[in-house]
Amino acid sequence: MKRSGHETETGKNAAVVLRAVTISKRYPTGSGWVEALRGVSLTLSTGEVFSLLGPNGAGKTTTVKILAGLIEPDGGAVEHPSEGEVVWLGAVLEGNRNLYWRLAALENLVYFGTLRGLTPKDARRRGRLLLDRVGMAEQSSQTVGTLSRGQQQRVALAAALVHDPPVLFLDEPTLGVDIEAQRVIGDLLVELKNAGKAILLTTHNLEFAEGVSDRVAIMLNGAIAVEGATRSILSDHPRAAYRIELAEPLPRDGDRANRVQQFGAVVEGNVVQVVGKNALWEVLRILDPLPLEKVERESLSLAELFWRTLERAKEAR
Amino acid sequence: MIFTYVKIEFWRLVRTMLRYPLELLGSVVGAIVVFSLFFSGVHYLAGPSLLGDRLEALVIGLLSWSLAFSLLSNTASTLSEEALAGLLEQLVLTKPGLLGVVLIRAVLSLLHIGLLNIPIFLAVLLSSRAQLHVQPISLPLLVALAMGSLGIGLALGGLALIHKRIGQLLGLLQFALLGLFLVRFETLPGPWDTLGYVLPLAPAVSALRETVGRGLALEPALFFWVVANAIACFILGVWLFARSLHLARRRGLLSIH
Repeated sequence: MKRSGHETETGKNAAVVLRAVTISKRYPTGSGWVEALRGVSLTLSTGEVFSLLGPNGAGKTTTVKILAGLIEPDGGAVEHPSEGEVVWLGAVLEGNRNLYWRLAALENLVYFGTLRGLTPKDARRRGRLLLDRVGMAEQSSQTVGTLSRGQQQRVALAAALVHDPPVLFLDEPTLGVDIEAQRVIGDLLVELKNAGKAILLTTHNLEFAEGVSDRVAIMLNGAIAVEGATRSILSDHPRAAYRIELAEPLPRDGDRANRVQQFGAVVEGNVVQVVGKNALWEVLRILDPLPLEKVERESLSLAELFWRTLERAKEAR
Repeated sequence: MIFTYVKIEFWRLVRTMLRYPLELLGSVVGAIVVFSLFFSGVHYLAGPSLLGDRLEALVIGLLSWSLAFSLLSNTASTLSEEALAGLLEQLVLTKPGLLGVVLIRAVLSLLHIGLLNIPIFLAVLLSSRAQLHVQPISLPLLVALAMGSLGIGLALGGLALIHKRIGQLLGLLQFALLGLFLVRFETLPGPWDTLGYVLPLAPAVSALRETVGRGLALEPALFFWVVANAIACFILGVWLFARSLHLARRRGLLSIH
């Protein structure tokens, strides 16, 4: 595949490794068809974590599986790297075991590593390193069926990485795993991203996604409703509040407090929060000439953005 | 590279089997006990009338059935189990791909199912007291029977990709196959005798009956049908599996279990 380069928000040079152009998919139901994807376009670049978010049935898993070549799209095209010495993709897929439960953790990594292009010896060496990295070195000779859900997910992640693929797909990697395992997975994703891997993530865990993602897209009804760099999409959102910090507390029942509250502002001690540019100027005029410490734009959380996007979609129906 | 894939599949097979030795032992001992009791019962019920080549024909039919059914059900049930366990997608994302892995496993199953069937064969021979005439041509005939069985196993594996649960079908098929292997098509009046050439696996069983059972020389025409039937079954099985894999990808069925 021909790769095109671009500069990311963090200033790193990134190359597009995967591109989907207006992919569509529909599935038969008992009485007709359900549109799973309606013209989804996206790119995935080196050195980034791109998160696909959305409620159940939004089309996230179908998108991931079409990109991985596990499902054929009805329309559109997917461009991805051609296979070289090793398979280009590693994946942990939701709802699947991903591993042989009758084999030990390390045996799974040796098996899948060899089938993806490594020699058995290299697969064993890489397998040991990765199990150590995900904190599973002590359980490496334990059969996967006897491990906890969180431990199985960590082994599955190690198995997806055993052949050192340039692209990694993680479909709900934190589903049913404890906080400790989530932290291990999150740290590893950031490390892999910094090493230049392109990572596509789907999750319902919005806090986790906000912590690791460089870019996010929210999918609704088979289409991408919102997409952008995580930081700018959250801070540039029209519903992101302005935070005005005063040098001294503003009395809550005073005249000024009553007047700013008419513009939807919230007063807490010496902090006044207000949404919208026009409201900000009105509030600043009311507060004049009180001494200001600073005025700054607060970011929405990813959860807030998610719910606002859902609400807007409901209102539009 | 293909040798590495075969080696790692063999390694996985051995690790999995040795991890649960009682399961392996139980299946072999179970088959030995069933066949031994069956032939004790046959001798008791039939008495002296079970003479001539009837006993040998029955033994050849049952041995062929044991080999063929273990081969085809191994391929089909392994795929069905892995479809239910949600492992197929990870096998698609490998260098040989799902079809490559399944073909390697099919070839390896010749070895391990063949080895597992040896004690069963010996138990059948001892308990039935049949006189078999093993000759050099027996091996290619067994290979042809095995190849055809793998073809049917692959076709059933394709069904497992789409429909997931095929246990009932396999249950029915074992009786159909037993009937097919016990019918002596060569003795039927025309045009029914031609069924013995075209029905899957039938020519190989017929040839084994003639050569190993009755000690006769193999007719070249029958050998041609044995080879043609085995190749047709195998190619058709691979084609049906590849078509099913394509269909499963189009309908998004690989991960549904």
